[in-house]
Amino acid sequence: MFGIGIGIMVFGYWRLFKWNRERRRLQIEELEARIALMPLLQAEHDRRTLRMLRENLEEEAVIMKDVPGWKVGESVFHTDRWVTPLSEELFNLRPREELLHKRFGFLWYV
Amino acid sequence: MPTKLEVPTLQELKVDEIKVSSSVLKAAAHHYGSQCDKPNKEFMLCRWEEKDPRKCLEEGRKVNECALNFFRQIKGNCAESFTEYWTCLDYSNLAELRHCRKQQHAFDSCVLEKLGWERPDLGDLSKVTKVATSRPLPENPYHSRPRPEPNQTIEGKLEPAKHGSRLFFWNW
Repeated sequence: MFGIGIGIMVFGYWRLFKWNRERRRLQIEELEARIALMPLLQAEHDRRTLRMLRENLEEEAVIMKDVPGWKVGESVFHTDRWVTPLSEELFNLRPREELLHKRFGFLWYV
Repeated sequence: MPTKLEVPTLQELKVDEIKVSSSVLKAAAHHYGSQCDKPNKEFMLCRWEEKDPRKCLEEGRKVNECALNFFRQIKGNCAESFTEYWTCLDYSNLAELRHCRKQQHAFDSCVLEKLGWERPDLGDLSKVTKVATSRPLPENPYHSRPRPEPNQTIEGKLEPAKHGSRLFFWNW
């Protein structure tokens, strides 16, 4: 009787491990789809950031026209390298809903 | 002295975008990874070496061109089976590839006989590759300040200290 019980358990474990390996293969496949699409998404993201920065720069030039001693587009750092802009900085002049969507949209979906 | 942030103009950022939804991209992802491999890898290499998106706009443009050609070829040859595949993927909640094996098989055989493309095996797209570019390696990508020179090498005979280290009991 014990033998039957243990036999069923072992059989169950074997099926579990097999299905887990199969699930791992499926997960690898889905991750590979993401790997394949990364350059496209990265390029689009870069263009979007740069476009928003450009629009913000032009808006800034318009808004701060009459303020004395203001250099348009002045960076807040002393260095020359590319600093990834904060999402608050990018979405500054847009409705607040867009900023919330950028920050928490993934959480809402999941 | 804070420097001016240089942002490219809207004209320079204009690129033909791919107006396609996410399940379409995911459906074609494996074939895209094996076909459009070269410009993709060059763009990623550029991005990772220069650490600056403004310097990689040209490579990004080439990535977009390759992707557009890829989708045009599919649309020209295997449109119906591809449409069925991605609508099937779109139907499921998380776009899981395992629910649409039949349509995937149909699409794969259609692409194989018309265009000669093979679907890459499991693990092929995640292999580490070497990329050859004509772009030179950037020196100082982090724009660090000039570093001080290292200490001069000490000439002459050096011996270990007599009676061991003087700081043996005060080694914190």
